[in-house]
Amino acid sequence: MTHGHGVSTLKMGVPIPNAKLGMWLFLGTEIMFFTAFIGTYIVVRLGSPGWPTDTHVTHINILAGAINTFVLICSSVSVVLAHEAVHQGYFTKAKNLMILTLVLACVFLGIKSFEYYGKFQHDILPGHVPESNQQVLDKMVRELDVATGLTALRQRQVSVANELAKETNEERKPRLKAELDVVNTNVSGISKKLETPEFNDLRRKALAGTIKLDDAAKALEKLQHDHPEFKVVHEIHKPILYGNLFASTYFLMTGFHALHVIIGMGFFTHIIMLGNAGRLGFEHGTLVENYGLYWHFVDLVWIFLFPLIYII
Amino acid sequence: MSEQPHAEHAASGPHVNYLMIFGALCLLTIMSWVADEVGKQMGGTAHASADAHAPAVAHEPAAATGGFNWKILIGGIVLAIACTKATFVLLYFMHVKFEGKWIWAMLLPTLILALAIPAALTPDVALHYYTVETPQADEYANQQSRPEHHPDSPSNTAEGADGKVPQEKHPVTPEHPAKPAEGKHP
Repeated sequence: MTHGHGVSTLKMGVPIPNAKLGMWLFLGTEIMFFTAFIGTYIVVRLGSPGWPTDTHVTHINILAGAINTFVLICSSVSVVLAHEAVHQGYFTKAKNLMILTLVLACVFLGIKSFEYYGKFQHDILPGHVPESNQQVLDKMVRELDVATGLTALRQRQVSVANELAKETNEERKPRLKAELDVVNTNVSGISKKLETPEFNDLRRKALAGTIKLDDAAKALEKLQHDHPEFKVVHEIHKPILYGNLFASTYFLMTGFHALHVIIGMGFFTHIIMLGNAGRLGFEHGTLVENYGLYWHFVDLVWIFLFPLIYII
Repeated sequence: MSEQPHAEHAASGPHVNYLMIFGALCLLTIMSWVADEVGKQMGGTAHASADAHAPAVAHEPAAATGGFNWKILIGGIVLAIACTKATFVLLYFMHVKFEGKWIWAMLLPTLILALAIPAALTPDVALHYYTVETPQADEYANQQSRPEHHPDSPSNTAEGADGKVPQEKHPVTPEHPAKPAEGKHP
């Protein structure tokens, strides 16, 4: 049995370019990637009564988040207009819109950096947030010890002393002895200067948990006033329940989102370079559309991150 | 490279009023902000404690507003707004509205698979069959049991509940660095 002439060829697959199909498949994996994070965040929050929502505590800046939402919406419009311009043959306009999108992406990252700076300044970082009063005091003591420099010096003191005791080569012993003397002198000098009665009193009471946080804050302030070396010690904050989980999820979600923004900036730079070289043409319509699809997805993720992290 | 519109290509793309979509997205973002502000006024979100060193705990808003939980209402509203915004972006900016049905066959399975991790975590993390025994849960229960923080309340100071100064927990010398106080609730 044979087929007659005039039978149309069987058309397979979806009616779009392969590159666009590839981008949609990639975005499918991206949906799973971000939904896992966002979904887990929601589940963790539901299981954590007392989750920190006070913006004075978490140093979440709702206005910064809202401005960033507006910036991303603007960039989504500029990228879709760039795609339309390429389709219509206005390549210079398309390039300029891509430059605008790139600038908006930079603004987004600038605002995000400002927010991250606040988090680092207040030490709202995974594993750094005290969740009980004693943890607040212990953290202060740890930072006081580091600020004196004595922690590292005393470790070196023990290390050199052990080395000297084990050393069998008589020729090397004088060098080790000299080094030990220098370390001992440094320890003694710093100890006399910084380990004042006030320092030792605060340290002892904090470790024992026999001082109120208000009093510890005042004592620390006085120490910092008398010895600028202690200014590196973070200001005493109230303990934050689930503060570490909050910081972990915040940096995980916003960090991966920011990484996607940076990759998107690379895509826009590619189109701008094509435009500058005078090579941007109709054949790049699908490429611009794919970059646009990626960018809209980045916007889509932020649309959910904004209410979940900043508002609720 | 031509700067003139190309009739064949110009007719190929979908015609969408992008500025109208932009306006709708901006309006919805403003609505989210307004909802948050209303929520704050009605006690839907946590406020700063009067005492700077009281543990930071979000109090149950229901207790403060006569039984109505504004937090859940505001949360539902802003998430509904987010879903609406996402739908606008998906349908008009990503042109899903103008694609064939194949796109849903591709996207829906990923959405279903994406829910696997949250679904697997929910029974253990969010729905507790048994009593939760974590330092945070104990502290939260402690906070909720007191209507208002008092600067000298036990969990706000490092002193014992009876007001007596406890004995030192470990020797205090510069050689003994501070250790994390796991599970301690002064």
